[in-house]
Amino acid sequence: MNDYSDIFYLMGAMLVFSMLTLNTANSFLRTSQSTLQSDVEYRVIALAQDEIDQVKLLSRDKENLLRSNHNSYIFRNYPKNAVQQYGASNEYSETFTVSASSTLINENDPLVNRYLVRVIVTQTDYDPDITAELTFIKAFEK
Amino acid sequence: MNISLLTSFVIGGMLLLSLLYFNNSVLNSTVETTMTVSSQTKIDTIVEILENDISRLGYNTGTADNFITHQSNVLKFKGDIFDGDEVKDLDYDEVEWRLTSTKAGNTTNPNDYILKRTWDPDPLVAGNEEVTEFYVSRLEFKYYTAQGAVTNDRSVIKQIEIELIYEADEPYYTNSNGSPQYYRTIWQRTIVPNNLTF
Repeated sequence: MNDYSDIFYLMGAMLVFSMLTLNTANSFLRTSQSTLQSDVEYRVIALAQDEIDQVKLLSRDKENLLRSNHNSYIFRNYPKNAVQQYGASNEYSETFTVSASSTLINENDPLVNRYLVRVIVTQTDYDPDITAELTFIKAFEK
Repeated sequence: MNISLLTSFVIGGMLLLSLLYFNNSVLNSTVETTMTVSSQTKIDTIVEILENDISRLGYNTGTADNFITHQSNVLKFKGDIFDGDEVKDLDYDEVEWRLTSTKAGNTTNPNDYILKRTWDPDPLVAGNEEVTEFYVSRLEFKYYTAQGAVTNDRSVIKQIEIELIYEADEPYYTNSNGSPQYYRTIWQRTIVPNNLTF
């Protein structure tokens, strides 16, 4: 080296290089997080759809299950934790928080009662939480 | 040797090593992202077809006996799978989803098995089945009554739980001990086919 200016040039080059690598690493980290989140969202939505399907299954004589002031209200113990296990010997598991509610839609229809069912499923193992909210209208003939 | 030259070699060597390491990390990340996106797209395709088929179980069949085979790895049923193909003798089709014990030969993943979907658009006519094959690690069906109890009695099945595990065809990373790591994605749903709720 001829003088100290070469050292400064080298330090500058290393600084630029390290910033470049940090930015690239950060970009890849965000991409990985994003793909991982979309994977979890997939299961969160599936679980919310399962809850909606349980409401879909209710027959005409089960209308009380959607009345929030009734003893047999289907969502009385919500929010609840739902543990899903996967694999041949349930070697994987994941916990979700499920909250749900149903509200009678006040529309004075003489023939039909309609309930707005809202299901929110959250996976809290990730930061930020991964949440899906689905709504469904269930109708019962009066 | 000149001390300045030695210092330059050391610093240059460190830079070169970090560049190589960085290049390797970028390569691994790129492979991982590609495998992840590819796996998610593939499982999404399977799920879309599976959901369409099972949601139409019992639709337009004119019978309450819609299950032909129902096991943990096989589900064969009647249902009008596609609208607008009613030029045939029957309105309904027959569909079978079967997880075979045959390993997928053309992937490096040893956990891949062949999942076969057989769609028979006209059950009265033999030989017109369409077979589609997918590679998955696991598919399991469980059958439930309306009350959520596990059942094998086809007359009371109202809900079908499906668990699907898909692993990437190729590894995204190989450990120092040589064991390959495959990206894994899981989907689980309990479907209530509309036509079984009556």
